[in-house]
Amino acid sequence: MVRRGAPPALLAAAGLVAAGAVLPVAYLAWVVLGDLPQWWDTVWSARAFELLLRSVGLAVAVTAATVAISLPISWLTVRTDLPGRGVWSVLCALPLVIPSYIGAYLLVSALGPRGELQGVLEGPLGIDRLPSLYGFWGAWLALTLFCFPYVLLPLQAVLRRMDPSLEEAARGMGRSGWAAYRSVVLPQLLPAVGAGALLVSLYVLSDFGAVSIMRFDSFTRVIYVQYQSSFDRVGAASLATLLVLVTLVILWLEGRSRRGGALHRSAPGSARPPRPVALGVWRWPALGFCALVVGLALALPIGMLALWTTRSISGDVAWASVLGAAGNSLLAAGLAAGVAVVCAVPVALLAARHRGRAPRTIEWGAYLGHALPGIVVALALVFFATRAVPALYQTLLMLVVALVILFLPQAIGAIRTAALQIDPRLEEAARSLGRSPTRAFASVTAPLLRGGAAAGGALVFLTAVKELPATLILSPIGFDTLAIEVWRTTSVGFYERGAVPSLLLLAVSAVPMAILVLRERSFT
Amino acid sequence: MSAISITGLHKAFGAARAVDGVDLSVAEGEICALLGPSGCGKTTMLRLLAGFEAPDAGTIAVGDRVVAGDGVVVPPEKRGIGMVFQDYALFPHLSVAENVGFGLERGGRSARVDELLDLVGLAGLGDRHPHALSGGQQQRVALARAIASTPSLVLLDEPFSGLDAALRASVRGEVRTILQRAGVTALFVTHDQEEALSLADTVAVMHAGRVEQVGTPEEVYGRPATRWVATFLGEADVLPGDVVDGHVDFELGRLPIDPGFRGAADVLVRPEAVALSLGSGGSGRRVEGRVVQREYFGHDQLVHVELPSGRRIRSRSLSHPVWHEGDRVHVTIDGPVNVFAGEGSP
Repeated sequence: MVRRGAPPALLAAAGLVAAGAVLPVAYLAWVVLGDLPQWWDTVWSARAFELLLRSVGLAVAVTAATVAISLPISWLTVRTDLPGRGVWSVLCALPLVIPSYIGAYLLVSALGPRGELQGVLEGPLGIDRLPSLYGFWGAWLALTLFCFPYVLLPLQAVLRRMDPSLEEAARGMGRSGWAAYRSVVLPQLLPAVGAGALLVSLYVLSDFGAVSIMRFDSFTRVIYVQYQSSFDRVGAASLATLLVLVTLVILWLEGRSRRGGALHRSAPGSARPPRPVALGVWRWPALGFCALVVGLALALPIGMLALWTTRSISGDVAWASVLGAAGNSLLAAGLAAGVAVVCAVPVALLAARHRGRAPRTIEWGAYLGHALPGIVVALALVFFATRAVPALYQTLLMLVVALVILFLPQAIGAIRTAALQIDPRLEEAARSLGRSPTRAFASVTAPLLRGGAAAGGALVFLTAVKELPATLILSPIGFDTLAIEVWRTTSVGFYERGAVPSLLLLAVSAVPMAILVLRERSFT
Repeated sequence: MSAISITGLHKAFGAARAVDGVDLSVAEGEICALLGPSGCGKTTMLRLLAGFEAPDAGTIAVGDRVVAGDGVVVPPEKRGIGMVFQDYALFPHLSVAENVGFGLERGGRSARVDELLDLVGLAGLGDRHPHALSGGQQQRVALARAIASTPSLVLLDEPFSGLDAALRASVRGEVRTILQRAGVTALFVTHDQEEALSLADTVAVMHAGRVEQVGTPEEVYGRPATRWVATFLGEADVLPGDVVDGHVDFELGRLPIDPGFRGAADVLVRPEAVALSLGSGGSGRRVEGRVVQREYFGHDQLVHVELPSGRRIRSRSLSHPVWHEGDRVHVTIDGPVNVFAGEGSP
C-alpha cells in the first residue's frame, strides 16, 4: 500500500537535496538565456544535430549491450549451479573499478592499429595493420565493458531477494523454466534494469575520458575542447543544454516504464533463499560467455596495465607525488560518498513510497545533475562560487559538492531498490510498539536500508575516485588526485608513466568494491 | 467502563467516505469482531484506532483517554495499543525474541520475552529468524509482540487470512485462549463471518462506512437489525409477505410476528428454519413444493425446493431422510424468521 501523503519533513529534506542538485542547471539556463540568439545559432545547426545523433547513438548502443550482457550473467551467478558462481560474481563486478579513460587507453594500447596484439601478430602472420579501433565502435566497446556492472549489480541484488515461490508458482502452473523467467522474474527485474540502464545511458552521455581516448567527437569532448581552447563558456553551455534535453527525455522514458505498483512482498514472512537451477551441459557455453566478458573487461586491461607497470618501474617513478595524489583521491571520494548517501536517503524513500507531482519532481531534480557533463557542473560551481560565495572558490568543499551532484543518482538508485523491498507496515509496527517516527526509522528502516546504502556509497566512491573533468577543473591548486595524475601523463602519450597511478587508482577502488561484493554475498 | 468508545467517526479519502459516522463501544476484556465485506471501511477503522490515520470528525477514546478528536491526535506510539498486521510485519532483520521484545524496556526484557514465548507456545524458538518459522508460528510471534507491553487493547487486521483453512480453525482457538489469558481487549477485522461468529464476544457488522448492527454473535445472526445484515450474515431466502393485525402472511403460512409496521413486507427465511416432510404433519398451512436440487455435505444437506408460486427456497437439515430431485415435499416453517419492510422481492 502506497501512503497517501508524504511527511513534510521528508519532502523538505528531499526537496533541499534536489534544489542543490539542480543548481548547475539553473546556472546553465541563466547563462544561456542571457544571449538567446547566440544559443539558437549554436543549437540549431547541422553540427549540433550531428553531435546529438552521435552521442545518443552511442548511449543507446552501449545501454543495449550492457543489458544484454547483464541479464544472463545475473541469472547465471545468482540462480544456477554455474561452477564458481561466487568468483564470477566478483570478477564481473570488478570492471567497475577501471576508469573509462584508463580502460580505453589500455584497450587501444592492446587492440589498436599499432597495439600489442598487432605486434604479436606481425611476427608469425605478417599482419602489419589491424582495423582501427578509434571512433564509434572503440568508444562503444570501452564503455560497454566498463559500464555493464552498473546494470548487473542491481539485477543480482533484486534476484537474491526475490521470493522464489513466485517463480515456483509459475512453474507449477505449467510454465517452462524460460517462460516462468520471462513472465514472473523478468517483470520483477524491470525496475532494476531501468535503474541500471538509466545510470549507463547517463554515464555514456556524460563520459569524457573514453570518448577522448577513442577520438570520438561526442558532446562532452567537443564542449571540453571548446571551453579549453577559447574559454567560450556560452558556446559550451549552449551545447550542454541540448545534452540536458536528451537527459530529460531519458528520465521521462524511464519514469513511464516504472509506473507499476510497489514491488515489496506482502505475503506472510520473509523471503527464503532460492534453490539453484541445474545447468547440466549448458554450463559450458555459460562458462564460455562469462570468460569472454571477464577476459575482455578485466583480464586484458589488467594484463596491459601489468605490462606497462613493469616497464615503468624499471624506469623512474615519482613516488612522493603519486602517494600524495592517492591520499587526496581517498579524501575527496570518501567525503563525496558519505555526503551522497546522507542526501540520497530522503530522496530514495520518497521515490520508493510516495507518488505524486512533488515526489516525482524532486526525484527528477536529484537525477538531473548526473546527466550534466562533469565539466558543466564544474563550470557552474566555479561561477557560483566566484560571484556569490568567493570563500568557497578553490576549496575541497567545492570539489565534494560537484562530485555529490554528479553521482547522487547512483546512491539514490541503490537505496531506492532496497527501500522498495521494505514493507511500509514494518515502520507502522514499530510505531505501534512505542517508537517515535524517528526511532522507528532508526531501528527498522535504517538497518534494512543499510545494504542499499553501503552499495550506494560504494558506487559513489568508485565513480567519484575516477571522475576526471570536474576534478580537473575544481581541485584546489596543489591538490592533485590520482585521476589528474593519470590524465596528465597519458594525455600527452606517456603511457608508461600513467601506469603506476592507474594501478594505485585501481587499488584504492578495490576496497569499497570488496565491501560492496561481500555485502551482496552475505545476503545469500 | 468501555475499553473503546467511538463516537461520530468520519474519514474520507478524496470523494470516498471510508468511515461515515460510526459509533461503537467495546467493553473491557471483550473480543470484538469488525465484520464486513472488503471496502466497507473496516481496515480504515483499525488504522484510525491505531493512529495511522487521523479522523476528519468524531472522537476515539481508549479507556477514559481521548486519543483522537477534539483537535487531539495522539501518535500511534503514545496510544499503548498493540497491533497484529495482516502480513504480520515481523522485522526480518531481528530474531523472534528481538521481535517480541521490541516494544519492551531493557530491564526485565528477556524474562518477559520468555514468558510470552511460553504463552504462545514458541518456547525455545527465540533465536530463530522470522523466515525460519511457519505461517502459524509467525502469527503467534506477531501476537506475542503485540501483547508484550500489556496494552489495554490489541487490534488484529484479518488475522487468519494468511493461513490455510485446516490451520485456521485451530489457530483461531489458540488465539482466543492467548487473548483471554493475557486479559486484553481485542478488536479484529475480518470479512469471514464464520471467523467473526466463532471467535468474538461481540460482532459489529460494517457496511459502506457504517456500523449496521452490534451484538452478540447469536443476536446478529438470529435477529439481524437490517435486511442487509440478514443477507450478508449466513444464507437467507426472501419471500414477499404482508403484515396484518400483528401477523405476517406469506406463501408458507401465517406467523404470529409483529414487526411494528403494516403492509408489504419481506420475510427472510434461513434454510435451517425450513422443514421438509413427506406426508401430513407440522403446523399451519401446508404448502407443497418440488425438490429441484440437493447439495450433500455429509453431516447435513441443503435442499432447493420450488414453491407453487415458482419461487425457490432452501432447506438445511440433517443428512436423513435423503431427498431426490423431483420429490414432492411439504414445506413448513420450523424456526425463527425475520421480517423487514418490503422492498420488493429479488
